[in-house]
Amino acid sequence: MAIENHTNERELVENCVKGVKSAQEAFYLQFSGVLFAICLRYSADNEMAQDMFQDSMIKIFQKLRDFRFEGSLEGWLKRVCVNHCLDSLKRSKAKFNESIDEAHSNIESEFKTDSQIQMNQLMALLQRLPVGYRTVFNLYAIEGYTHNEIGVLLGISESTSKTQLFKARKWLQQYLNHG
Amino acid sequence: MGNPIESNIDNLFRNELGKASVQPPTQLWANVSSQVGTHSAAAQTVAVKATVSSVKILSWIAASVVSIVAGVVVYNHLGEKNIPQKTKETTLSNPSQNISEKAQLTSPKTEKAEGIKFAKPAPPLPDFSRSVFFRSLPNDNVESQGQMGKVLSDEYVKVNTENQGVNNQIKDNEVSPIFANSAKNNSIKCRGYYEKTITQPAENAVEIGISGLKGEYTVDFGNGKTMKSSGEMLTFKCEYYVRSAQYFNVKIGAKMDGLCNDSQMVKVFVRPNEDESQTLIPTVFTPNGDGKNDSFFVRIIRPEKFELVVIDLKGSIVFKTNELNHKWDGKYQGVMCKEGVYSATIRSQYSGENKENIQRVKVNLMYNNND
Repeated sequence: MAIENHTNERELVENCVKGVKSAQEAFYLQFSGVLFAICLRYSADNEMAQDMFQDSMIKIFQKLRDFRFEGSLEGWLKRVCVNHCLDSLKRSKAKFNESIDEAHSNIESEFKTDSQIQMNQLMALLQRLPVGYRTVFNLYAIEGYTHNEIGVLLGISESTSKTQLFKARKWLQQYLNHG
Repeated sequence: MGNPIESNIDNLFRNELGKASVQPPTQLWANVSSQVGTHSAAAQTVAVKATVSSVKILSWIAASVVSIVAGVVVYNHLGEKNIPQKTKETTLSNPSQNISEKAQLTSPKTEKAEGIKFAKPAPPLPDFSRSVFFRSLPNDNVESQGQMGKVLSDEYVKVNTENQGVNNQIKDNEVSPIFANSAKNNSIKCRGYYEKTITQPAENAVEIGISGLKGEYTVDFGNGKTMKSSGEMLTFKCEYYVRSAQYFNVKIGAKMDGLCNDSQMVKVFVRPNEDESQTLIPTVFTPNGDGKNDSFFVRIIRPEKFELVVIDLKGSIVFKTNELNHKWDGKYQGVMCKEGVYSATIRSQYSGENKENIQRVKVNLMYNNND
């Protein structure tokens, strides 16, 4: 078996599309970490994240032939992944405008911040947000969408998106400060 | 972005999670690859079929619309003279239905295309330093931190502006007696009972010498290392593994039973050792014994904690080390590994950083170097 040196992104993608197994493996090794982290951010627990990740990875391999090499590959993959996460949230009939009183009114104060805030802790905190807050916060603060775009993506109004973000920040702030 | 706290939260999460990478459980690749192999072929044929059938339907609709419209036009033309109006309405309802059907078929597509927009790139994100946020977090309460910190911060200026470099010495000049009236507090200042000397035997090392009355002295080097010792003449030495030049707050505590108990802060300035600053993480190696690129290794600025793990595609570990100098010769339990792609995970943590750096690279193991 000749080992391709997949240093070239274009070559890697083209080989994946052709169905070269080694290229697909290399592709998976390269991007699975980043994409799984995204799925974790949009999900409430690990299991849900794994489902999302598996499906979006399959989707990516199917859609890879549509990638036109205009812009970064990783950016494109992230968008596909985020889109898939949103889709599966919608399919599970998540309400993006639910209030915290309905969803998580009695969260125990386990989370304490020392001066050391670890990525894992932040991830766990994010996962404990109600789905509406989490999704809007992810899209706005981390992905960098505007409220207008978020409104279109989630099918909610712009002002709902703003309130959700505000509440999400408040919630996070509260748990970061007081634990 | 009115409230700085709010954007700090955004920044905290973006910095920590925006580029986060978490390796999914290893069994997932098996699921994905099994789906990918069959799926891509199947999906293709389905797609082709779908387009074929949709073309057929569309052409059929178009044809029927054309024929009906033509029929109606002819009919109308004839009917204007001698057919009553009622029948005219009924015949007209047919083509309009067809047209609306056609509209339904086409409209959702365009809506979808407009609905989800990604063409616009995400706006550039402002670069806030994380430390701004961390500083606002509650600090450990050192009793004399505020007061003493101020006094000693002048000292660090002395160290770093006047005689920057190796082997600089500072002597604690202020030796003042303490008075009995401060005996109310537990924290009576120990200054005057001991002297400290700070030297830098290397760019990345700090040595603190203590000489004074017999007591218990502790030094917190600000990188998570704390040393404790008791006596009259003591030396505390610590090496810092940093990526770039950096300040550390060193806390020196002194406790002499029945006499005094306090602590003071000193700032020290350390740099990475220069010879280690050339970084290299190769992506290909050829363990065929020709003397070129026969092993896989990582060259980074020496971190405080280091771990290199190489796994194969099944997720089993083939090489693992905590030593930066160790090299992988391509063998697992004495047997040469197969040619192919491996994933190397490099975990490193530097002094003063509370986050582990995780870097993943793919490594190609090849036997024939055909360049």
